[in-house]
Amino acid sequence: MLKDADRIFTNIDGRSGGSSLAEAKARGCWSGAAEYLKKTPRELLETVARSGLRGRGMFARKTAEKWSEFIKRPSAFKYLVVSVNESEPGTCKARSLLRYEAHRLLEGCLIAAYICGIRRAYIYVRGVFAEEIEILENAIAEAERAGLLGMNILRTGADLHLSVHRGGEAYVCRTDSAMFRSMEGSRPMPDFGADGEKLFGSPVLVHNPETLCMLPSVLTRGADWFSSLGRAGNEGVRLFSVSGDVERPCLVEETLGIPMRDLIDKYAGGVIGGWQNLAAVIPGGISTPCLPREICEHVRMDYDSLGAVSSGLGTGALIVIGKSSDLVGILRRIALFFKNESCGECAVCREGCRLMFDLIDGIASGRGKRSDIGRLERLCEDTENAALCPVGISAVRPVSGFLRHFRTLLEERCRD
Amino acid sequence: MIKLTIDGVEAEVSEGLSIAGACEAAGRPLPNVCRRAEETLPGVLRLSFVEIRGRDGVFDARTEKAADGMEIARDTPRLKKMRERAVRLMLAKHPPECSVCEKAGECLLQDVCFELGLSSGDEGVVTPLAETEETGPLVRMHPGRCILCMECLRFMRDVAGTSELALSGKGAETRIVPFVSGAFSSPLSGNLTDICPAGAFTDGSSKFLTRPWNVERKKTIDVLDSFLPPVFMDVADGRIVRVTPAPLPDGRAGMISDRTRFGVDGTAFGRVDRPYIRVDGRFRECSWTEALMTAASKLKEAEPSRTAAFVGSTADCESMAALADMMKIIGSANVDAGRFYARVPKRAGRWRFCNTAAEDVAKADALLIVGADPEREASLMNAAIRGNPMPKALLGARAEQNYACEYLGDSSDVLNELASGRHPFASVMKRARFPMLVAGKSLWRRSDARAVFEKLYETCVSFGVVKDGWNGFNMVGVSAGMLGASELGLVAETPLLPKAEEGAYDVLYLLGEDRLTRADTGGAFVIYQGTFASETAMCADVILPGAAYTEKRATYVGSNGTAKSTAPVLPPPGQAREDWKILRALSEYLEKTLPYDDLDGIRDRLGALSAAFVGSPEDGRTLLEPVSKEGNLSDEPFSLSGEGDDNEVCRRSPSLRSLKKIRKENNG
Repeated sequence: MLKDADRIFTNIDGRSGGSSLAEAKARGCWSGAAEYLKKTPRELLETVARSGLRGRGMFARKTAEKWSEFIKRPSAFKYLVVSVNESEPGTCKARSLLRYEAHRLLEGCLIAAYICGIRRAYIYVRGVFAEEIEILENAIAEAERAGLLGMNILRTGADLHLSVHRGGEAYVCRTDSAMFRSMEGSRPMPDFGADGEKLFGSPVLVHNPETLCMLPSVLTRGADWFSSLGRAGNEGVRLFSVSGDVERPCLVEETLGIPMRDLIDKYAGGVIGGWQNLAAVIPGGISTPCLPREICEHVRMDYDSLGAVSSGLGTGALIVIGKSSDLVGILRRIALFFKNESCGECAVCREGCRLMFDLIDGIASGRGKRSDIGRLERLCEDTENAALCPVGISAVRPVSGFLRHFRTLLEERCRD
Repeated sequence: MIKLTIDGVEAEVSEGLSIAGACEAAGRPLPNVCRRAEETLPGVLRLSFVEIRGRDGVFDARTEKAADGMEIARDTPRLKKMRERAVRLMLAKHPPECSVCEKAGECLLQDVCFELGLSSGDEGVVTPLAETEETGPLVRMHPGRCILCMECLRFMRDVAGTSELALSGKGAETRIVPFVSGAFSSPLSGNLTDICPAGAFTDGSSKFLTRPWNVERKKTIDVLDSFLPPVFMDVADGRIVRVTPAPLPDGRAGMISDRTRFGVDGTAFGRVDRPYIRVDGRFRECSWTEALMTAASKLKEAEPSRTAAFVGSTADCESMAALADMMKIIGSANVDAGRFYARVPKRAGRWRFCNTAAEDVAKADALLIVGADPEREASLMNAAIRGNPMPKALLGARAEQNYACEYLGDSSDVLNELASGRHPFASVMKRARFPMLVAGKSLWRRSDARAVFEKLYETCVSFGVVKDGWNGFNMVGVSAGMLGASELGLVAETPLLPKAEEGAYDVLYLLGEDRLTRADTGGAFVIYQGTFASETAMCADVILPGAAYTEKRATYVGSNGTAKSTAPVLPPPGQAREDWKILRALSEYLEKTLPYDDLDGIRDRLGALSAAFVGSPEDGRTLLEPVSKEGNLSDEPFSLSGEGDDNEVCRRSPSLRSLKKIRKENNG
């Protein structure tokens, strides 16, 4: 288990005070800023590279690699966008992060922007987080007044203008180009055209808020400290949320590679009705395939271990499903989510998600046939292969994972 | 240069290409079905996949960049299967109604399915038949057939410039919705029917008339749009069922205005198809001989100076030349253009024409519109103007523009200020390297037209609209009939019509003129040669039925000053004949036979009359000459009032009339 001294998010549960600048400073935010802004971006980049930090988003890329590529892109003007478009059922981390750790995020933005030579950043927050947006805007204003953001930060010559962009409610905005179109005022749809990956015509760096929050600690406490946490290739800590059929749903910070069972038993108070009552766990938000109890027993919560069992760490949001829950009903609900959230641009995802939902709905309500399961399998394969953007692939993975582990449950529901 | 392997064959291509581009460059392109789909709808049908050796999964050949040492497989069984499945998904919601769909036979989706050997979507999925949306009689919309390629959205947004189509809903509920009451307002809306790959937009004018494989497709030009666009006319059951744009020289799909597309049905109704003479106040059918003898005897009897001829909107250049020659032979100099909205004398030279080539419009960097409504008068040019983000200003009646355009008012004082450089927009024009000026035909109607053109000349010279290597002056809206009459020098200095009204003539010869009334004829003996049983024909004494522009090989002068020839698409109805032949026959009865016996003969004569007809028109970039230096600018405001359609075919077209009615109702 992670020692309290090693925690990065010291206030993720909001128990150690509010989000004002004074309180955040008392918790250690901004403490090293004057120090590391004296170093050159190249030195800082090296530190981040040595820490082995991986993005906490969908692709889990090495942050330093991503940056060195980005720095090479020729443009006088570049943007940083923090994507806080958290809208996947079961995932509820960004909300607490904005509410209690806003200054940590702002400091992370400053570091990323400083290293990559960016002077303009947006935090793209989904519109329903109205309260959090207010907190975030207050935090930005406070930081600007204190000279931590804006022009000539701490008299080091670094500039960063930060503002919050309210998003609509489109899940597809998790695809970068769709988010850019949304920010530009168009309908959010993935755009793979020539200028698709640009925001207002300029190159843009997109980050998950969690990744950025790690940066201040990486720089102040050192790369070696960070890489000593977790396992090789899966360094560092991560926020995990545990919800569903557990005694105490929670949001905790833990090292990558913690056994899933530890997470559930030690932090969330165990599965309701005991471990024997566990049916399945969705390890990282609904776009990751669910895992049956036998696998949950041993699997560790990191990128590679979960990848090895054909699932993924995703958003790190565990959904624990007890035996009393209707697994097929949950699958139906997941399919419905993706049916509604497909943006409609490519036929593969639009129609694939619709057909998948129709088939699952039929089976769940007892109208389905065994042959429908075969069709479902084929649909999964087609949609995964041909979808235009990651949303289509996300939609398929929970279904194909379900078919892999719980096919019999579906067969039982069939008419024949 | 990079090296890669395509299906086991090594190739060397330049850097920076996509995989699809690299395959193309290496002479081993993607399978036909992918290319066809990608050419029309990049990225929508999701067919252009390739496999790359050593990498998992499949890759989009359009977005994935080709890299050194790549080993690409274009058409493995797995890829074939995937393409098939991707199309099946697209078909999942597409109603299986090809048997009743107007698009069948020229439908991209159908072609793709055919090549892949598919006949239906995912088995067991029941799709409803397509409903229709209320988008008017001409462009019909069936949202159920839509495959959401969004080409129509792009067209309406980027080219037509109206926001009448939008995307609504998300996920499986995504659909294209029209915000239309009655009809699309854009004069380019008909192009939606060509753009749509799947039958969601169909041409209402050809609804239920035929199938694409039953038509005979003929290439000709359209004369209703004065730019004379090349078109295909589809003929079935002895009528023209559809007009579509011919592809551009570079192979891209062309574009035509609704006028061209739908106006042609004006030639199908209300025609005169046999000769008539008036006996005791009533029309009697007669033979050609009798009609021509009657006409000839009247022409011979009359004092030559008391005979006059008027040419009208549907007259072609051959017949106008023949008429002018005939009148000269019988000794009359009274030939004039009839009732046109704009009377454009030949000596106006390049002031009559659009001098900026279509591709040069994109080069322009400032635009002044004077007394014109480019969207209606020159729809295609307007689309090009719209695509150019230069500063624009409009002087004249406030016409609704589909782009940002500064309005300078309608006072003629503003033209004075512009010419003298005192107006703020004058400095914008002066700074521009390629300034453009678009003037409307309404200017020719003004009592002070000469003074206006004098001012325009000053303006053009001071702004550099006309200079060495650039001619940015464009006169739009003048009909092809008028330009032809003008090029042949048939537009008299002082109009002859008022004289005819006063009874100065005993015999009037009307060629393709349908806008005169009995009051205009002054009691003269009227010989009508034309196509329509119009009001003018009804007050004639002899009716000689002529062929419409779709029924003869005839020459017309276009807006850019070049002459083009139509090709016959249909035979003339009944006993109607090509117009120049009628005049040639009449001259025999006059015993003063015209000196040409065939089309080549009359075309040689045309060539002798003007260089425009022998394919070497004056250089479009030659400097304009001032029109004249007389008269003063009056304080009459610039207006478009009294504007209307010059062309009788368009005025009579049921399609265009219904369109006009709907648009009028929409505008309150």
